[in-house]
Amino acid sequence: MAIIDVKNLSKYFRVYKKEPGVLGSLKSLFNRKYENSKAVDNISFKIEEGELVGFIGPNGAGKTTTLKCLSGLIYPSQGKISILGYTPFDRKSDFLKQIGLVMGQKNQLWWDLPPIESYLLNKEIYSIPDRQFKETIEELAELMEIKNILQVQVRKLSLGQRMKCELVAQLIHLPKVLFLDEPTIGLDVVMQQKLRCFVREYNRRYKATILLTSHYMDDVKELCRRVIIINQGGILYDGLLENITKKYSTHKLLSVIFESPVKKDELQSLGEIKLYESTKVNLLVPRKDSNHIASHLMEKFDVADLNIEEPEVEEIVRKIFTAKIV
Amino acid sequence: MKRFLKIVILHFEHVFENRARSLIWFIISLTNPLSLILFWKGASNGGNLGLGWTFSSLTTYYLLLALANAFLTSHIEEEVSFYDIKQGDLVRYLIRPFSYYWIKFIEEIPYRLLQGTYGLILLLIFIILFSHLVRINLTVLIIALGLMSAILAFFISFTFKMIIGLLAFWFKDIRGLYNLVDIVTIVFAGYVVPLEFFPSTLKNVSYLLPFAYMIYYPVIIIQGKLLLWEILRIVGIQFLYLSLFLVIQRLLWKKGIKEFTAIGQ
Repeated sequence: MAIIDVKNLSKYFRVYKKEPGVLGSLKSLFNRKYENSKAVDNISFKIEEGELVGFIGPNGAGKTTTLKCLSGLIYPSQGKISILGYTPFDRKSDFLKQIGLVMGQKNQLWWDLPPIESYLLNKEIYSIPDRQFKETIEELAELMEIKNILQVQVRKLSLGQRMKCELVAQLIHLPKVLFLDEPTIGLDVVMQQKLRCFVREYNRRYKATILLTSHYMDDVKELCRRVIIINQGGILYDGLLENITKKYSTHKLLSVIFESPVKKDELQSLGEIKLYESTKVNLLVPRKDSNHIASHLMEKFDVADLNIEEPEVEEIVRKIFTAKIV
Repeated sequence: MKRFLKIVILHFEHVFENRARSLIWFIISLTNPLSLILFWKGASNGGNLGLGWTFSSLTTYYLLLALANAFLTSHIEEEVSFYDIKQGDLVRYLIRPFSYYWIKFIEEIPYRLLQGTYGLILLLIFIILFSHLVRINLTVLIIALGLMSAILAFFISFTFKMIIGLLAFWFKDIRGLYNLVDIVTIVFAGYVVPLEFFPSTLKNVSYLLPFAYMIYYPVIIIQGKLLLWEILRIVGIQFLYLSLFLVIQRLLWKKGIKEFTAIGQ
């Protein structure tokens, strides 16, 4: 049975539409027009135990709304969600004890007290036995490298340190299902990397099922084998990250270094020239012809080096977002 | 219960970090009773005020009112409406396996106890410096019934303010509403004068409204101004109001939470 099972989930928000100007304001006093804005529109997916899935999409795509529905924060307009066999919006205590939600840069720790005090509060709220609490804190603090700051006031910590402490606060009860909403937002590259390592390790060590949203494709590329791409409330792609390239990329890039300069005219018929620097040329060619064109180049010219490259995942995803392909 | 207590103790640590802010709020709340004491000193000329009230019993009344206000009057409506519902801080409560009503209640207890301690210190200072102005004749029964009424008063005040706060699920801005409630409370909970001084119609209205049961009656009970059967009737009404407010609060929560959008989170 899937740990996360979403069937035909929709979430609409009632939005007030005001006509511009004073007249519009006066009209709105007596007659207000409301519209249903679709944040999530009839999406379905399943996630199995231990999967680490990337949930990506542009701003306003519906990622966070979906995550809020999955964690029981907001009431779905339509559809059915089952997480570990529970309906999230019922917010049963047993359900909440098994999930965690981390929202980037949102402070859940007590600002004026050291993180350990917030952890102690969570210990009581989640009814964690003393021994388990000690062991978990020890383990998580070591993994996150926060042992030396557990007794420092939260307000004195840097953003990166705070984010790590926030993450630990959400993991003290060792949730089986973890929702991470932009966990690396605002962090420098070193801290991003550390956080990714931690998420990967947590997933591996506790067989946790993790759904991650991020604007940074590096997060997704490093952590997730499977991605769900969402835009305008609907799912555009659900599958392995490596298959995105095959499915959506119609071209490949031939990166060639010639022994001696080659005339531009001689290459134009082979594909679209993306870069031309005397002996160095990047050529965009149809995917199905790439091998054939590469052989042709090798035969006809003195080639020092030739690489057949897949386009960057970021590029493909960007194109999916802007609906240039699909 | 042990778990509940541990959570309360942890919240004390948080409140102690804000002790100076809490003291300032307490001092602000003293302006009304202290200025009224000064007013009555001039108006009464130190003599009898009628209806069984003297200047010293009235001074005691305002001091006890300040103490009760510090101990019993909850101010959670802004936090519930503005920070939790409008700014989305409710998320951090919803995600944890603990009732929102009870965790807010626990958060409120240390603030009330801290402010109440300031109130007790103030009362002690008055007893030491102006002992002739403080008249309290306590018996064990009065203390027990007064405490019972005070605890109920706190629950009523807390649940009522929670109800006001929860209205933010439907309304864009309810600051006007809680200012209105504050003004009505000042009049009908006896912050200006004891309700006995009101004209009979207004007095009857004040007996029907819930505000007096949140602060006025515990003060009057401690002052020994009510007979035993009157105290029991008040406690009974307090139970009724609390039950009614708990039902309303529960209904509003169940309906309102479906409107929550977790904006800003």
